[in-house]
Amino acid sequence: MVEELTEIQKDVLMEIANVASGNASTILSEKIGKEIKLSIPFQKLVSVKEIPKLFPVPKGVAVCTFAKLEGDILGGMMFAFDLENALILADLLQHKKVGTTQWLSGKDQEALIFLSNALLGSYLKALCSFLNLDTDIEETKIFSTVGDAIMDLLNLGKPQSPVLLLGSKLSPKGIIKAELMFFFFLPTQSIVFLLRKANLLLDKRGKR
Amino acid sequence: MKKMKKVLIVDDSAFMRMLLKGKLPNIGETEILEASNGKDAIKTAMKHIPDLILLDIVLPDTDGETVLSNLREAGIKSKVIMVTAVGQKPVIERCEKLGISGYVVKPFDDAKISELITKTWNTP
Repeated sequence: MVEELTEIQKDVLMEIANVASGNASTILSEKIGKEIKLSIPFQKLVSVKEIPKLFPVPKGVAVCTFAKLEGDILGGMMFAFDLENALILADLLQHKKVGTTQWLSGKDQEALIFLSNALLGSYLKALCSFLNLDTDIEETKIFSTVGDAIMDLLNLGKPQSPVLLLGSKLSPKGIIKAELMFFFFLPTQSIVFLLRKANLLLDKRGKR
Repeated sequence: MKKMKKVLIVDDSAFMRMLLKGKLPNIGETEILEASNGKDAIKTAMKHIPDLILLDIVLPDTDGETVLSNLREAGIKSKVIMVTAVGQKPVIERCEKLGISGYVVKPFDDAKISELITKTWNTP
């Protein structure tokens, strides 16, 4: 089914990601005191095993915060960055000079989880408000590991299982290399559900 | 003959442009123009001089702020309402300096955006 998405269906999913990531970028900007440039979202149909290739540094150490969804839609949301960016974020969140943090202590990880909860919550709130959904996130987990191993930890399904990935790139202005990725993973049944909700929205509000 | 008024909707998403069209029910006979990127937005605005522009910030080729700035530099005085998912304070402030009639953060409230569009439309 996912392979057969029409252009307008793809457009709907991209706009859903745009609205949600725009709201998350506002929260990120407030938390780290930097203006955030937001990219046009991208979407890709991938198998679970291919997800690590999409990370900022596919072969390097990635730091991810991840939360599974429960409710009307399933899947998960992930905020991912390479180790260097994780250290920069940890500094900004704790009002330290960039370059101070050299490794992620328990306190640094707590700061990143706190930030991620705010971002994931904002993303989900915008999504639910936009499409009138009832969905929540489970506990946010943080992983720091080398690319491929992350997928085992996330437990998103069998390696061959298809997921639609809606991604956004958030770039804080004035910080070199601090490019952060936001991923929204959707299994097939949730894509169908989202598209149905979007159609309802058009029926209700878009007619002229 | 009375000149038909024009509205330009700038958003890369066809879905969002459809939703926004539905927000224009009470402003009389209008010609609705659309653009899905910054380049087309500037070209269309220069050619048609719309009475109102609904302008997104995140666009594929540039951003709505640059589009707005270019239009103002070219002397286009159309009323502009920003409709975007970006709610960052510095962005809002810079757009306000460029002379906008409103800034709406997506997802928008149906009643509020309709009210703002109608109010902007009716303001001389």
